[in-house]
Amino acid sequence: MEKCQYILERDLPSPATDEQLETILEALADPDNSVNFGHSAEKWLADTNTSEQELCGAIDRHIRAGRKVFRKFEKGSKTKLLPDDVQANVTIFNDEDDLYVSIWIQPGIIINIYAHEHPTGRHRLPQ
Amino acid sequence: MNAPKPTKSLAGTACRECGEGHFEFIQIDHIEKISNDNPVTVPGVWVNRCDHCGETVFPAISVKYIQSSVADQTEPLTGQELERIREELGVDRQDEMSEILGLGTKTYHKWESGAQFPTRSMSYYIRMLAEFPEAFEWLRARSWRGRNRLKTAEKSPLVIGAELMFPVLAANPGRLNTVMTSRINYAGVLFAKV
Repeated sequence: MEKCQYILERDLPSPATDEQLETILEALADPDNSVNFGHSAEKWLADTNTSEQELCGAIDRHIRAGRKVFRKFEKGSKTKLLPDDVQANVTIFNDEDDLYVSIWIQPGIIINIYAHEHPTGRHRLPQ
Repeated sequence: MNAPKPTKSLAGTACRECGEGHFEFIQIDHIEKISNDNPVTVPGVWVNRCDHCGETVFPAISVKYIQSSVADQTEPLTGQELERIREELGVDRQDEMSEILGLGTKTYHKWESGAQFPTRSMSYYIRMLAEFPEAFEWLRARSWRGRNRLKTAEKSPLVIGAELMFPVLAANPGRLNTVMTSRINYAGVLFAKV
């Protein structure tokens, strides 16, 4: 199996703000009303027979453990940050590969989770 | 059962996928594709959908509803059912059950904890074993995974090489096995040079 490589520190966007992380945790505490899943995440859950609580729980654990969450650059830019988007490389199950998770934060405390496996040959976000 | 409706939605929010449309909060008949099985249609699911490009975002409560509807139709075993079956079959530990069924320990643990669900075919297989304990006892007595592991270790050229290199350890197969587990790469490199 090919060893995964991580994005160099100089190419990483800035970390998510405390306020963004707070908002995500608040939404994850009430997933039935405050969490949406993009098509990619819904498909991943269905394909892997994984419950949606497990994905929400893994993101919650990732943040509470102080693991890295980054903001996102605008498409095609390496300097301009999107105001409401964050991303992370999240471990769902210890014995399986990590999952790339992207979260779009909406006013009124809704978060939209997009998630997919890491594409081969693409560098990952550090955890 | 009616599909549950979340209290918050993306209605009116601009779609970022196409940049031209806006999300509507609507009910759809969702088709869930299932590997090695017919697709399952789940009617009346609440979703946020772009009125221009069709980009769809699923509320968590809808995902939960889709999963439970699919479960109703594909009948996977729940964690509680698996635990009950394991206990009825007289197996105390999850790792012992996974060994008998030929699964990875973590896979079986995820099923019993409800983190993941077994497939329809695996659920049929386990239900059949629960219905016919004599079949389960037959499977248990074979101990295929345990025997195959031992057989592999006995036949491995690495083990034979290690026995030649470490004759003192070779007199104690249990100790040799422990050493092999931790130093298998080292032994392999040395053996390749012999």
